[in-house]
Amino acid sequence: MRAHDLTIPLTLDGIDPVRAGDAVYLTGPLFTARPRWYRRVLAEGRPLPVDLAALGANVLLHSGPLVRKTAGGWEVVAIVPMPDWIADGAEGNVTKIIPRLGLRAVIGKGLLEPLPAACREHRCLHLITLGTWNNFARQIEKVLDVGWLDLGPAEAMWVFAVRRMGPFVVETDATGRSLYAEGRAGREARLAETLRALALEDFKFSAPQPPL
Amino acid sequence: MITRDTLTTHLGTLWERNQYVLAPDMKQALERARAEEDTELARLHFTINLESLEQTSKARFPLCGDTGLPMYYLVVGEHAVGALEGGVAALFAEMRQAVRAATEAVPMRVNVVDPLTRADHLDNVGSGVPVIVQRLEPGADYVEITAVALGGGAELMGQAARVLAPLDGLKGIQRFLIECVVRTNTGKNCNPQVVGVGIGGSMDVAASLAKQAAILRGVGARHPDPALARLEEELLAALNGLGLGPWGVGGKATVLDVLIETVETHLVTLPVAVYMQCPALRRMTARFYADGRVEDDVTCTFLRR
Repeated sequence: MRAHDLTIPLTLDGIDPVRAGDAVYLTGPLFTARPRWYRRVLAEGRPLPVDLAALGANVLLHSGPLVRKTAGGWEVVAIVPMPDWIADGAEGNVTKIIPRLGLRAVIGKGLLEPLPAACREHRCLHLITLGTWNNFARQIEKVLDVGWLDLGPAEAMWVFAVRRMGPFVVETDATGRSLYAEGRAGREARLAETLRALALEDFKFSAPQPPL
Repeated sequence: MITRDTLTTHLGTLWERNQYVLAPDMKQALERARAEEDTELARLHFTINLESLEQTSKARFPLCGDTGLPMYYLVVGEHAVGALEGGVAALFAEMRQAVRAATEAVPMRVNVVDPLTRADHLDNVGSGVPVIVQRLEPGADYVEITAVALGGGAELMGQAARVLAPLDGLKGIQRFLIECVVRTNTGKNCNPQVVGVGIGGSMDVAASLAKQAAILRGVGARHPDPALARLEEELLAALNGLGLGPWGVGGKATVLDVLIETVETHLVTLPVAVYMQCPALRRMTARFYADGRVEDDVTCTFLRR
């Protein structure tokens, strides 16, 4: 597995050699977003409470951290990325936010159908975590800023300075090559085989399934 | 006498340890899964889980960033009720207070919100939360309290209850189970999961059974009924034949186990429910005896056939 050490703000030159299936470690400022963040930014059109451009934070992490207040500010106790589809909603939030904020990487997990096309068009990486959990908290050096704390500590917008955070797996690279897309044919073939083995190919439930 | 002080102390410890000690049967399942995977990516997935767990348990930090929706399985022994200082009302008050205190002390993430306004109280306690599921145990002289932290992903993609018709039979159950796994296991929540299947009863009973099977029975423990044990093994092999692996990017472990519980049902219904428990299985049990003794970290006996 090839591994890359990348510095945020990510540059086109920096992400150019990164390929789907590689591992990535990130150093620099990144910010968190959850579903209600998207509602404020995209549906309500509110200005961001944090100046991302000034910080150079062009990496979005879908996550709500577990934080605690310390004498000097905030400490991240534990943090785990969340599935991207939850943030995407029915509106395609994630593909909209990539060009809006000029993102070069989105970190989350799981399949999101429209992401590869958006990653190719806007030259962005989709990174997923390895491990159900990982001790990412120790890779967060500092809480740089927080906004919209009225959403609660987990849903607020956090900006962290991270140091060699990872490993993340490149699910989709900036050419739009995607591990999930490449795995689709295999997944469908194995599903068909499993249904055949259980003699379920032609199974239908008794209750009619009315169209909505 | 089961004093309020005793409850405060031991429930505090219960929640703290619950957050950094992974259920031992789940830990073994993750170790087995790592040994069986033959791709670098899938193996690394489990290695990171296990290494991270070692670090966080040493530091006594929550093992996962989602510290869960707090829940209790409560067994109240017939002869323990009279021994409760302050009675049953005090027991419930202590169980709620323990969650509030642990939210601050552990700490736990503020996860509990109003379902419609999404407003929180910052303490993980609210109407109906912590969730308490209880039963009476005839003749017993103890109160047994199991603290469970329900991961949001396990709830979100996990539980689905459907009342099938009698002719749908075992095939209907298999089909439903495969649907649940396929729609989830491309990383739509944290997999590979332990799949609890509740069959029979009524709609709500099937849902409860599915959850109890996944959370309380123990990963790798087969059902004592040989026919159901065989069915569990067949379904486990079939689901892992899907080859989705960790995060759906390929691997041998699509699910870690399939655990089935059944009860009888109405002749016109076939209720079935599926609960997909993520690897962050946090279940810890303490038993408080009428004579004042306390046993921390015992095996949960809530699930009774």
